[in-house]
Amino acid sequence: MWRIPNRIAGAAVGLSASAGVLAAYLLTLAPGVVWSGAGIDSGDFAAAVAVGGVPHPTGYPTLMLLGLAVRPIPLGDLAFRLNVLTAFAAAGSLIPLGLLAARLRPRSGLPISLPEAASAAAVLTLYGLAPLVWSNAIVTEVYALASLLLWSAVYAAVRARTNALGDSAARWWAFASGMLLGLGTGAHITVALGAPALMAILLRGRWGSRLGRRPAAVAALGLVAGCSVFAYLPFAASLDPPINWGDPSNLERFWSVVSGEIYRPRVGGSDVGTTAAKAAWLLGQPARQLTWVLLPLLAAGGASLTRRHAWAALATGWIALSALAVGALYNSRDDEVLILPVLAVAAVWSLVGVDQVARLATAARTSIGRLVAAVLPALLIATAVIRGTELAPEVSMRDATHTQAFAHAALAQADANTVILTQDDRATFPLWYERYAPDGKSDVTIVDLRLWQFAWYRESLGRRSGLSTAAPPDQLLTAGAWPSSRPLWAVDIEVSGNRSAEVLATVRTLNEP
Amino acid sequence: MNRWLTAGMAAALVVLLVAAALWPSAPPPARAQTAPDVRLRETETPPARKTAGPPDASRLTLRLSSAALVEDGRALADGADLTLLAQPTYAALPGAGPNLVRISPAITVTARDAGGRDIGLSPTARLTFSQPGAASAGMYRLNGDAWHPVETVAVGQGLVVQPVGPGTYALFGALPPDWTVRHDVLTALALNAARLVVDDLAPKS
Repeated sequence: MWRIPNRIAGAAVGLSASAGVLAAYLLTLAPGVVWSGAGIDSGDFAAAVAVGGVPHPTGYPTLMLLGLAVRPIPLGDLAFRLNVLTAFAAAGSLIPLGLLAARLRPRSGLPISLPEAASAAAVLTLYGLAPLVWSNAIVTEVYALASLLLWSAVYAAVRARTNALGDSAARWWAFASGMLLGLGTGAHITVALGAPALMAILLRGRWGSRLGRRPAAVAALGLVAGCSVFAYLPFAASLDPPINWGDPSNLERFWSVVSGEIYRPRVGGSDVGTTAAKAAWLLGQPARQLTWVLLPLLAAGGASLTRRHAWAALATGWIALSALAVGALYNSRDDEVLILPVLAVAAVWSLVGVDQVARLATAARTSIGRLVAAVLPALLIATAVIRGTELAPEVSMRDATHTQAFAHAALAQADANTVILTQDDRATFPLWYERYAPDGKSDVTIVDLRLWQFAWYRESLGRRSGLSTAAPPDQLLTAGAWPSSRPLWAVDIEVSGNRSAEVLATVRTLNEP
Repeated sequence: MNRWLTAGMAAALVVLLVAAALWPSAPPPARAQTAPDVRLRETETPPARKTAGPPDASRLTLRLSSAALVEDGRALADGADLTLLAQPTYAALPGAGPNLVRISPAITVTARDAGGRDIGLSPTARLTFSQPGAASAGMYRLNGDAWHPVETVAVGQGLVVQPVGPGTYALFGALPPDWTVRHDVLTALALNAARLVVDDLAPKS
């Protein structure tokens, strides 16, 4: 039987699955910014890229820098370009997972048969088509990029460990590992939780010697280098962009932004029972998201890792458990997505499980073993195809054009100097994008009343629009202090479901200039 | 590590994941948004007024001189009055495409016969403002007192009217994405629905 050489097995599996899911992502890609599903923040990100600004905390400098790189590319709308970037990052994140699993599988020194490679590619595809992964791959978000960088860092750490101590290649892999983790932290702050996993990979069994500790020290240097992307935030803020959350132009405000100070009230706060129930629900996500078919493979892979590469089981287990804890303790609209690393770990373990099951089936030399070896690839491929076909209409954002249509219509109707009041992300972010996109309407001011509490926001509005910062515009109107010549509008949002078409935005005029 | 111990741990992991997946708990209702919640505001700022009073209503009363409007299988008699009460606001139209703008959340249509008695419109009745040669149907913009065709607007059958309640219809107009939509134009579009009725129902002399 034709076999794939061991040295390219991981890349072959990762690339084939990546190409498959990329096609699915591009076919279901959102056409621009959206106000539903995983894309509610897409307008904030796209507007921030458009003006070279700072999006909501923690600032996401890695995404901003990549966004600035794709901004000049003449391919459709800027928001569409960023969606394409996200899709590529999400599809690309499957490659380090495939490479990592190839290093950890029980028969890692041997070539891999085509059916086994197909099984592995199907497992990775099931991960890429998990609703949580898919929905975050087709509209501008940070989680796909964070996943790509986290798992690239873990793979680089494994490469550093498998090279001989003192080898220059080991040092480079260690440096790359730390740097990728730093860049990942710039994509999403929770990637920093992968640092102990990297240290576990690099240091286990080597702590006793100075030479053994060197890769970890080099990785720490790489981490510092990667985290230098955060310098983007004060630099961007110093240019006073209109989207400038927290204005991180001094140290105190910088720390406030990168530490997510305004979101701290969302950490904890629930009673133990509620938190435990949420944790249980999140723990059930691997079965729901990746299908029940993978559970036996996941268990087989976990057992294999524990016996052969305990350090890898420990490292990946840490990543999964820390993500689960963060997901359980953090309360926000998108807290569910914080367990994406759990799904990725489940995918890696399942990939190892594929090899383990194939090894056992081959070793058994029985009819049952042959049956398992024959059925497993077909079962996994069929599951991936059915899963993708079933989920595509549900996940797809291809027709999610309502958001920009609303923002375009609202701004197009606004007279010069109109002030539009918002109190919902779904209104604020698309209006920001439409306002600050390259051909946006420059004489309209959008005021999110929820941000009025912050001095940096009031100051920025006052500087740009000449608005009085003494009180919010709606209060000034009530008090009769609103300039009669300046139209004041408000946007109401009605939400009846999670899909783009189930959000209705209505503009009201609050005064008649 | 002992083979049986790892097998036992693997089995326990499967049981745990299965139990968690089958646990009868609903998704957590955590729905805080990206921007901080209003409750976090340091100042006692009340939210924007929920309503600022009804927008100026544009009322247009039409006298039907020829019975051509068929509603619920019945023809409106000559001399019936048809009143449209339009409240021009605008919103993205869910589920209908990128360039459809809902001109009014509702247009109230009341019909009276020649004797002044109300004609009940069924809740599910669709009003179709069709006119002969619908392919040439277009929209008109009110410029001063005169209607001028807006040639860049391709609206298919002109207007779509959907029932949202007894005698209440939502009116939609299709607008190209680069078309400047202004409040007064939307008002004109809303009124233009009546114009289409007149065009359609007025006797051809």
